[in-house]
Amino acid sequence: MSSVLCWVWGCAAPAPAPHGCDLSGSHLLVATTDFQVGALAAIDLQTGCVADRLASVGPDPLVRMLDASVVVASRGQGDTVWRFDPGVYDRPIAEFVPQVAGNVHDVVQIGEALWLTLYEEPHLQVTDLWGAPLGTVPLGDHADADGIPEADRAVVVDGVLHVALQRLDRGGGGLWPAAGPGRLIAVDPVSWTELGWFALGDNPRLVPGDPLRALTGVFGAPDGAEVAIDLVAGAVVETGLAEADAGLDFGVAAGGVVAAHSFAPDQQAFALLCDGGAARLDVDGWPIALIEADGAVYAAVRGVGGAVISEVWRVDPETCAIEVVAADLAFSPYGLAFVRGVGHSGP
Amino acid sequence: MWWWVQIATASPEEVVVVGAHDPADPASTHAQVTIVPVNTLPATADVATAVGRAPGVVVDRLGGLGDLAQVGIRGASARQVEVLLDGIPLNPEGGSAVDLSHLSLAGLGRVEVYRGLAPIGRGSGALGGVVNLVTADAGSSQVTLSGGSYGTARGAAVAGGETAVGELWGAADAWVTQGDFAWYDTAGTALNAADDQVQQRENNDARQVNTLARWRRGQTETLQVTALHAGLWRDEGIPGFTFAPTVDVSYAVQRHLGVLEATRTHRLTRVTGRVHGLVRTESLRDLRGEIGVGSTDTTAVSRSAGAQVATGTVLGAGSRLDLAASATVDRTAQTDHLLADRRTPGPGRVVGRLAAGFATGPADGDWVLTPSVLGLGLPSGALVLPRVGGRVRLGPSAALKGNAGFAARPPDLVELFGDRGTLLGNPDLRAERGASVDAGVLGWGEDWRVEAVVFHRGVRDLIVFGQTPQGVARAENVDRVQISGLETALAWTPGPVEWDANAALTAARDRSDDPTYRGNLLPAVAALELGSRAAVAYRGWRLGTDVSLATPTWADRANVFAQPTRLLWGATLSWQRAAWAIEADVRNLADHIVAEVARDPLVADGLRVPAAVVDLSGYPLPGRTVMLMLRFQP
Repeated sequence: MSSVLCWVWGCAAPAPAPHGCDLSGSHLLVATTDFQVGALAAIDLQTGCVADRLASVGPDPLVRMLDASVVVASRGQGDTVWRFDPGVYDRPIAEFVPQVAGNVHDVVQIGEALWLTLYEEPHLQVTDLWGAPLGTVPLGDHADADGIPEADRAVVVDGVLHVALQRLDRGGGGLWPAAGPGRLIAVDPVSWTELGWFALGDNPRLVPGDPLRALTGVFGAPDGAEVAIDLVAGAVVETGLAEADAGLDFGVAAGGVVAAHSFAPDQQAFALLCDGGAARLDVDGWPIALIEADGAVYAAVRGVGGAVISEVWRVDPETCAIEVVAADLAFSPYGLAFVRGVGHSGP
Repeated sequence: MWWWVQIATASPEEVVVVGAHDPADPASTHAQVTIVPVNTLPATADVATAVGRAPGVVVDRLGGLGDLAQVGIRGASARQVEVLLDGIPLNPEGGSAVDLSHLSLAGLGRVEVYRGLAPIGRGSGALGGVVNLVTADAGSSQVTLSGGSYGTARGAAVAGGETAVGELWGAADAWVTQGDFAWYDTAGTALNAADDQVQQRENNDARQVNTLARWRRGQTETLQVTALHAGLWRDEGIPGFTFAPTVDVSYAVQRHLGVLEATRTHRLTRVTGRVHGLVRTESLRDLRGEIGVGSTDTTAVSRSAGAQVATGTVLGAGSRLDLAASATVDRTAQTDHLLADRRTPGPGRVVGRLAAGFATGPADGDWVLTPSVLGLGLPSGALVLPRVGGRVRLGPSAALKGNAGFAARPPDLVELFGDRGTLLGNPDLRAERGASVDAGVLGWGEDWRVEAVVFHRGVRDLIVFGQTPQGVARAENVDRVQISGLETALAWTPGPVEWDANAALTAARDRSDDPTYRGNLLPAVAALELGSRAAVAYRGWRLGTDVSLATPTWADRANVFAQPTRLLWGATLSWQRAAWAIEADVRNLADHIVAEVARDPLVADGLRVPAAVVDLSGYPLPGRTVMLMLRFQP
């Protein structure tokens, strides 16, 4: 009877089932999406317990672990940022919109401030932990002709904020070409002044770690490489694996693993490259995000072209051997964050 | 050149003119069709309003007056519905959706809404159905002036008559609106009601001019020649979503459709020849990159040209033979003003149709059977799509009708070749294919009419755009759906009272392989839709009210976010004396602009929060809207 009434009058989404996982300890937080609906999932890496559909977070979600909380930024259907206590994802402790249509690409916490890179704006946004605006740091001097420097990933090293600026040409069609080499800028988070910058290759995507690395190269062309960065020297000091050698575009990297892909109509392909390219594993799914956590590398993998793949893998950085740690998530994984269990800090 | 060939035996009832059905009488055809006379619509009505009068039809609008409106029939998407003007297809690029707000009711006599398998004589193998806009007779002349809420003003005129050079007839409709209605803004923070406020819609202004001009000379018994031109000029702001309203995005479109037709009847055979040309120029300007990914300043020019020859011959009592051949060429070129680059996204497309039909039945017309077959040739393979329709009269006031068969939608030029922006084409796409069956009963009397139809439809190889890196989407064949439903309509006009109602129960299920979607209801298709109108007339006065109800619909394929029940009331009061009429029309009488929705449907905390009442993709709907109209109809 209820199903008939539901059919006639419409019905609400089914109540979520209790997941039964203990998320008070360290776990992997997974942003999932089908580009209409985004949701959070979590994997207890000790027990393998998977908690799916924990909360909705917008169709283009970004997840990051801050000092003692987790931040999720929605892009695509609004620009809401939520901050959660680790392991408690059914209700955020803070909710705010840093800038309408700003397109948050990264969030880092420095002291009691959040520093946000906005892909659509020529400045860095700074707020307090509850979203109240504290100010901006201009980046317009680094922009190309379209006025936007495309601020992407940010990392904090020795108390200095480093931000990769991709500097893409927005008038260049579907896959934006580089308007020139990207840059890595250094910002003093105390004085809010820029300390300097250096060129980093086209379309740089930072890979946090020691040493700091980056992937370079625009999508759709075998022009990039994995490079190592010396922040003291202010230069790229080593060029590693090259896209031309792999015959694929590099997408993301972490812990010595590079995920590569080709979306060319006649040669769609995906691969994991390990051990500096010495090991390669061609895979069916699209590894769209990688993260190093607890000494291992994890990959978020989704299907393409109607293929139903919705998995998280543990990847051996030496051999590229994979182990599925979560499968059949309701929505395909899109982003990863390693969450340390640190207790709650809600109001 | 990309070729698309259709070979079909046509449905003679619809192609043949000799002994053809009465086009304004649904009882005379096997097709499930709703006829909406334009002169029964209120002052604020547009083509979308007329189309929405048919059961099983969903009109998605982006906001208020003059904003984008697309029609879905029986759970089909707007791309699966073909829109015709006097039989000429208006769908751009041979398969994309028509924006009904680009069309005008001025000059139209009636709107025909074919649900499901439309007669092939309507020139379509559309999966969902066909909307045919039929121009008025030359004798209808009128002038209309109206104005009302949100800075809206409109003037329309229709005139025509016999002249020394033949029958001349024309219609013009011009309107302007600021579109600055109030909407509820949550500021993107569902948990924080303190920052919610009612905002005025910005960058939602629009201006539009539609024209229709027709010249006709001669009689069909000798030679009748008709020339028709339909023009459109429109520019508007694109206001954006509630979560990202825009300031400076604009869109402009011009469309010219020209048709030349000659008809001659000789003994029991009628021959009709027709050529048409359509040119559409669209410009989108978004220099700040407010709605897309990156700045946009493009102009796209689509050209379509076609020719058709059709003959219909009465072979004997109850039997007819029809032959038809047609070809249409579509081509699109796009200029990117930021790149100073002019590109054609891909080769053009040729659509060819050959139709031959035979209908059989007794001489008294008590029943008719119209088998047909549609053959499609595509680069990815050939398709053969048989279909059959039938009608049986059950006495003087009832008929049974049924249809079964297959239909298809070829991929359009954007799906095949992309738009050089965020959509990548896929030349290997297959046509969307579907099978459909329906059966219904129609009853009528002096002052009543009732109709009930059950239907079932399955569609496979649906084309969707899948996400790839950097926000770029690529067209793919991926999914299947099954849709079943019941459509009912009732009209009763006892004396000064008029009442009509329609309802549709629809179960539209996703049958894709992905467990996230398998078995889910399709987004934006309400399980129950009700529409009802009542009016009473007395000594030149007419008071009417109408209500429409749509049960909650899903906003997404995963069935997570539900759009709440939409209940809209309207009222109309008019006074007519001789050639003059005055009308006041109120839409959304209850000024319903805020709804309560679950804060997060994935969290079982039961918390509900206010949100704007929105339609298609998150555009807010206007609140109470008042229009006043003055009409002179000699």
